[in-house]
Amino acid sequence: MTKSRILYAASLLAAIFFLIFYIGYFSMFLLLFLLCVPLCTFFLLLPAYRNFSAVLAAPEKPVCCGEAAVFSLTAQCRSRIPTGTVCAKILCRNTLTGETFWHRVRLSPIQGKSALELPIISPYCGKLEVTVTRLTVCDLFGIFSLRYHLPEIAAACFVLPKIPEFLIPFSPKADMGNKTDEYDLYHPGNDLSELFAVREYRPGDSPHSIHWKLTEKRGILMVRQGSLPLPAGPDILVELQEESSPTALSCAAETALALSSAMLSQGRQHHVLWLGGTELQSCAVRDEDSTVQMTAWLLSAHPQKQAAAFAAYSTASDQQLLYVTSAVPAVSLPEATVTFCCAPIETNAGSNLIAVTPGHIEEALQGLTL
Amino acid sequence: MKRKDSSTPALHMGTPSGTEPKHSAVPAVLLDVLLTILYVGGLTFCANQMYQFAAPNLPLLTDATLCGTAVMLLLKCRKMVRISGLSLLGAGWSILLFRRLQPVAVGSILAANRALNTMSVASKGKYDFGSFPVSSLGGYTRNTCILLFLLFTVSLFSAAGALLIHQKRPLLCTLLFFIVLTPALSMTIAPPAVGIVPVLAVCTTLFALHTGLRRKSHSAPRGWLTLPAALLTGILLCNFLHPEAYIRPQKLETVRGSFENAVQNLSPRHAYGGLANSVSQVDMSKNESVSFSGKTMLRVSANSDEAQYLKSFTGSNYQNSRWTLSDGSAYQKFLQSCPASMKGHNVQTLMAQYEQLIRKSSKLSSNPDSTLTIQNIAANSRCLFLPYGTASLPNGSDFDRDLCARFQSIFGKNQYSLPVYACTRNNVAISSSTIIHTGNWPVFTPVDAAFAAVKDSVTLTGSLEWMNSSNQSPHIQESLKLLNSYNTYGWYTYNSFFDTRSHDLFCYTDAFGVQHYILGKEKVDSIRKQLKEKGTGPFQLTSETELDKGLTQYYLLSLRDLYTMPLCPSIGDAKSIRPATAYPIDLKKIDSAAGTFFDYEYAYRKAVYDENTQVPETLRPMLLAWLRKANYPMNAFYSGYSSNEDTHAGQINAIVTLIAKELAQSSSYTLSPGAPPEGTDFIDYFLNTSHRGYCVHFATAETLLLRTLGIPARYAEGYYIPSNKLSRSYTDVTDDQAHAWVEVYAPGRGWIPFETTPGYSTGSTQDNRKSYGTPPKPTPRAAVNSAAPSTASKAESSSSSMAASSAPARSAGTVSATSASGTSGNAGSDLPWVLLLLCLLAGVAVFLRHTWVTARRKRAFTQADTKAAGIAVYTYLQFLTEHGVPLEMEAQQLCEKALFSKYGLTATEMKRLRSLAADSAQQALAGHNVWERFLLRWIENI
Repeated sequence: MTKSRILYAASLLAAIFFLIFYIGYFSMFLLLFLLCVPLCTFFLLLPAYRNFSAVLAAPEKPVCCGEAAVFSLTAQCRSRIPTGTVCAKILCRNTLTGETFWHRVRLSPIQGKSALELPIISPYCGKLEVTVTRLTVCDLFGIFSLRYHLPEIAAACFVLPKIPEFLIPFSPKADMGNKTDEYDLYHPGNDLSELFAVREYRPGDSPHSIHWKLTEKRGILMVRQGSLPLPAGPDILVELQEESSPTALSCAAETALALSSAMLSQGRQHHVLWLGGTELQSCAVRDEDSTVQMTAWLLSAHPQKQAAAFAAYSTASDQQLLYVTSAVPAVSLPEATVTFCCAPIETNAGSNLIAVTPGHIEEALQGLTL
Repeated sequence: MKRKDSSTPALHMGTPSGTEPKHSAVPAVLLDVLLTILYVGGLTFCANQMYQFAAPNLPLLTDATLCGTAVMLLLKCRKMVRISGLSLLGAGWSILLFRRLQPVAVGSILAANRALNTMSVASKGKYDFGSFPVSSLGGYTRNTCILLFLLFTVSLFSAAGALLIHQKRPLLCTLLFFIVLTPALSMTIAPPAVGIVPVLAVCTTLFALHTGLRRKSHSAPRGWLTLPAALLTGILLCNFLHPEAYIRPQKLETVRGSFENAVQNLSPRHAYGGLANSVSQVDMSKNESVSFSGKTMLRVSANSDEAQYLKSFTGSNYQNSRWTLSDGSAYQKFLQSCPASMKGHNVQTLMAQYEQLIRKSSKLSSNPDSTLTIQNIAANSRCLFLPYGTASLPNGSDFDRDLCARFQSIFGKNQYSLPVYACTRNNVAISSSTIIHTGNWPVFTPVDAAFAAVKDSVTLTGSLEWMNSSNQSPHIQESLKLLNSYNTYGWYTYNSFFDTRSHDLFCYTDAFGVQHYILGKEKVDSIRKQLKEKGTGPFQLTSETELDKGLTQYYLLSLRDLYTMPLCPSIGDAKSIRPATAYPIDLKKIDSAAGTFFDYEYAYRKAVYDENTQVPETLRPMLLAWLRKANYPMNAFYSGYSSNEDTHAGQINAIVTLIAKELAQSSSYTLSPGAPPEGTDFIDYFLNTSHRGYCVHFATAETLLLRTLGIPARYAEGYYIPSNKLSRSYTDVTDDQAHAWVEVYAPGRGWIPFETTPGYSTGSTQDNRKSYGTPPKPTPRAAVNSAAPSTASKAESSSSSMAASSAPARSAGTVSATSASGTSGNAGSDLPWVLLLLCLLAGVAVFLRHTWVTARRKRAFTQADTKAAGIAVYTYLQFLTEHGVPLEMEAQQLCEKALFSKYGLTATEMKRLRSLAADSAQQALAGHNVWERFLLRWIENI
C-alpha cells in the first residue's frame, strides 16, 4: 500500500508540474482525473466495507515444538463489489515463554471468501495466542484504507513438548509414605476399609476376613479382600520466572510434564503446582484426562516474579517436593526437595540439584530415584 | 524482556499461503479485450487528430480493434496455439507490408511531414521543423499512402498494446501513450476528449489490477468496476470542465515564470538573478531596493566609440507590476503577411538593413561599422546581449520573435562577436554623396525613405504637383510623390487624448516666409472673426484674404495613423492629406530593394502596433491623469516644435524627450525606493506616491505613458556601456551597469532605445539624452556615495550637477551579491524550490535504487543455476546477520549443499532456502519502530 501511495503521490506531483508548464486544457483535465478517480473508487469501497467480515481459526489439534501451527484467517465480502487489498496486523504470543511478535499479512482483493493460512512455528512449548489487532480494507488502488472495527479476532493453540518415556524408581521409603484416599483398582491390599474383592479362602488368609454370611450361603469358605491404597506421589512445583529465557521456561514445563508422565505411568498420583496469577494453582494428576487438563493449564501459565511459586507453596506438606525451576534457585529449599534447574548453573549439582539441559531432559532424569 | 537465545530460532511465522476464490476466465478475457480495444482505439484517434494526418478514422479504428482483439485472444490461448497464432499473424503482416512496401514508405514520409507541419503551425512561428522531400508514387494518392502507413503502424501498436495489457503493465502502457503523443503535446496541441478519456480509463484500470498481491492473478470484478468508474469520471469532467470554457489561471503563469527564472538562474555561469538577467519576466511588485557589488558580469571590446545598449530582455506586456514577453500572436500574423523575399530576415535587424540600403544607394560601403565582442563572465548564459544595429547573430543562437535573441544551448556561449552598424550617425543629404553625421538618432519619418530611393538622375525642382507629372515615368512619379510627402510628414502632430478639438491644423506663414505659426482651428476661426469685426488681427493681418494667403491647412494625423497608414503623398492642394483618398507610394518602382524593405517594415509596424500600445485598463485613467497634470498644452508643444527644430528628430523624439523631462523633474533617482504596498501597482505607486525610483521605474513609466499616447513602446533591460568606456581592448562591464530603458518604434528603423533615467548620458549627442538637472527634492540614497559621473557627456559640461546626486554608484562597503529587486527571482526566493527539487530527486533516486536492488536480488534468488542462487541467498543471509538475525542451521546446511554438492539443490530445497531468507528478513524488521523499518527497507534494502 505504501508503494501505491508513493506512486500516486509521484503521479500527482508530475501532474501538478505538467499543469504548471503545459498551458493547454489537457493538463488541468489530467490533474482533476487523477484526483477524482481514487475518490470515486473510495466511495465504491464503502458498500464492500459494510459487508466485510473476518474470522481466525486455530489448528484443530495441538502441535509439537518446532512444528507449524497453521492458523487460518478467512475474510469474506458479501457485497457484489469487490474490496481492495485487505491488510491485517497479527500479534502472536506464547504465553508460557512470553515471546511476542507482530506480523503484517495481506490478502488479495476479495469478492466472496478468501482464506490465508498462517503457519506459526514455535520451538518452545506453550500456548500460542494469535490475535488480529488491526484489519484494514484498502480501495482498489491501495491509496485509501478503512479500518475495520470488529470484536477481537483471536485464536489459540497449544504447542506440546515431546515427552520422553522413562521410569522413575521409587525407594521403599517412598512407598511407605503417605497414602492417598484412592485405591488401586488392579492390585489388592490389606486395607479393609475398602473392599477390593470377595473370594474363596486361601491358606494364610486372616480369619478376621472370613465373610460368614456368604460362606453360609455358598457352603464354602469366603473371605473379604482388602484394597491397596495408592501412595501419594511427590508434589511437582513448577517455578516459571520472568527473567528466564524462553528455552529455560520451555524446558521447565517440559521437565515437569515428563516427571508427571513418568509418575503417572507408574501409577503414582501426584499434584502439579504452579503460580497462576497471585494464587498457587494445583492440579491432581490421576489419569489421562487430568493429565491433559494439567498440561493445558500448565502451558497456559504465565511466568512470574522470582520464586513466587515457591513462596506461595506451603512447605508443611508431607509430600516430597520436586522443584522444577527455570532459573537458578536462590531460595533455601527443604532438605528432601529435589530441584530440577533448567538454567545453566555454574556450581556442581548435588544429589538434590539436577541440571536439566534443554533438549536432553531424558538424560538428565535418567538415574533419578525418589 | 526475555534474553534472546541465539542458538534456537525464536517464535516466528512462516510464509503465509492463501487460497483465492476461483474466477471464471471468460469475464477476465472479455475485460482484457475491451481494455485493448479502448486503449489502441483511443490512442489511434488521438494521434490522428493531434498530428492531423487527415486519415479517415473508421478504417484505422477497425484495424486497431481487429488486430488488438486477435492478439489478445491469441495470448489467452495455450502455449502452442499462442505461438503458432502469433507467428501466423506476424507472417501475414510482414507479407502484406512487403507487398506494399513502397506506398507505405512514401506514406511514412508524408505522414511525418504532416506531423511536422502541424507542430510548426502550432508553435506559432517559434519553430519551423521543415519537411522531408518525397516524390509521389504512381497509382497511389498521397492520402492512400498515408492511410496504408498508418494501418500498418496501428496494427503494430495494437499488438504491443495487447501484450502490455495482457501482462498488466500499467507504467509501460502510460509510457507508450506519452511517447506517441508527447511531440504534439509539447506544441500545446490538445488531445481530443473522445480519444483521451478511454486511454486514461484503461491506464487507470491497469493500475487498479496491478495492485494485487501477485501481478498475474487479477480479479476481473475489480477491472469491471474500475473501468466504468474511470470512464464515467472522464466523461463527467469533460462535461463540467468544458475545454472551450477553460481559462488558465493567471497564478499558474506566475508560478511557471518563477520556475523558468529559477531554472535559468541555475545556469552554472550565472552569478545571481537580478537586473538585466531575466529571460521570461520581470516582476517589480516586491521591488524594494537594488544593490551592486561591482562584480564583473561581461567583458566587452568594440572598435566603435558609440555608446552601447546591450539588450537581454524585452517586456511587451505589463500586468500586475510585471513585464512579460509577448505571446507572439501579432508577430505570427506579421510573418504570414511579410514578403517571401524577406523571410530570412528578422525585424530586430531593421536598423542594420536600413543602413545597408542607404549606404548602397549612396554608393558607400555597406559593411558593418564595428564588431562587438562579448565575453560572458557571470551573467545569465542563456541571455544573448544584443546591441542595437546588429546585422546578424553568432552561431548557436537565434532570434526570439521580435523581442530578443537567445542561445539554443542552456549553457550559452562564453564568447561571441556581433557585427554592428553605427546607427546614431547616419544622415545622407540629398546633395551630398557622403554621410553627414549629425549625431542624431534616426527617429525616422517615412519620408526618410527618400534617401534610399532618390537617385541622382532625378532633379526635383519647381512645382511638386504630381498630378501634372502623370506623363512621367513610374520612377519619377513615385519619386515626386515621395518628395511631396516630405512636407506633409514634417508637419504632423498627434491627436491628443485630452484635446477634442478639430483634427485640423493650420500653419500661418508670414508675408516674408520666415515665421511659421501653428494654429488650431479654433484659433483660426477666432482670428477670422476678429478680422471681420475689427478689421485687424494678430501677425499684422488686416484682412481674411491675407490670412488665407499665408494659411496652410494640414490634416492632423493621429499617431495610429502615422504608424499604420502606408506612405502616401499629399494631394489636391499639395498641403493636406486625407487617408481615405491617399495614394500609396510604390517604392518598388523607384528601388526594388528599398521597396521590398519598406513593405516588410510596414507590415511589421501595422501588425504589432496594437500590442505595443496596450496598457492595462485599470492604469489608463491614472496615466492620462498624470499626462494632464504634467500639462502638455498643445500650444506649448507646438511652439516647441517650430520650423527651427530639426525635422529629422521627428515628433516622436520630442514627445519622448518631454515625458522623460517631466519624469525627471517630478521624481528622483534612488536605488532604495521601497516596495509598493500590497495591492498597489508598482508604477502607480512610483508616479503618484513615492516619486522615487531607479532605471526600472523610469523606463516602465516612460513606456506606459508613451503607450497611453499611442506611441508603440517596450520595456528593455540589459547592460549599458557609455561611449567613453568602450575600447578595442576588453572593458569590464560590472553589475552596476545593468540598466533598463525604453524602446520606441521608429518607422523604417525599428525599435530604438531611449534613455529615460536621469543622470545617464551615452557620451554621444542625443536630443533625448540631455541631463534633466537636479531633482526638485533631495532624497536620501543609501547606496550612492560616489559623485563621479558615469560618462563625459558632449552636450553637458556640468557633469557634477548632472551626476552628483543621481549617478548610480557602488554601494559603500556592501558586498551584496544578490539584488533584492525580485525582478527575476533572486537566489534566496529560489532556494525553497531548489530544496524541493533536490528532495524530490533524492526520493526518486532512493526509490529507483530500492527497486533495482530488490529486482536484482529476486533475479539472483530465482535463477536456474541453484549453485549461484544458493550463493546469492547465503550472501544475503550473511548481510542480515549484521542486523542481528542469526544464521539458521538449516539455511547454512542448504547453502553448503548448494555450494559443494554435485547436484545442487532441488526445487523444494531452493524454495525452502528462499523461505528461510524471507523469514530472516522479517526477523530483521521485527522489533523496530516505523521509522527504523522504513530505513531498513528503503535505505538498507532489506
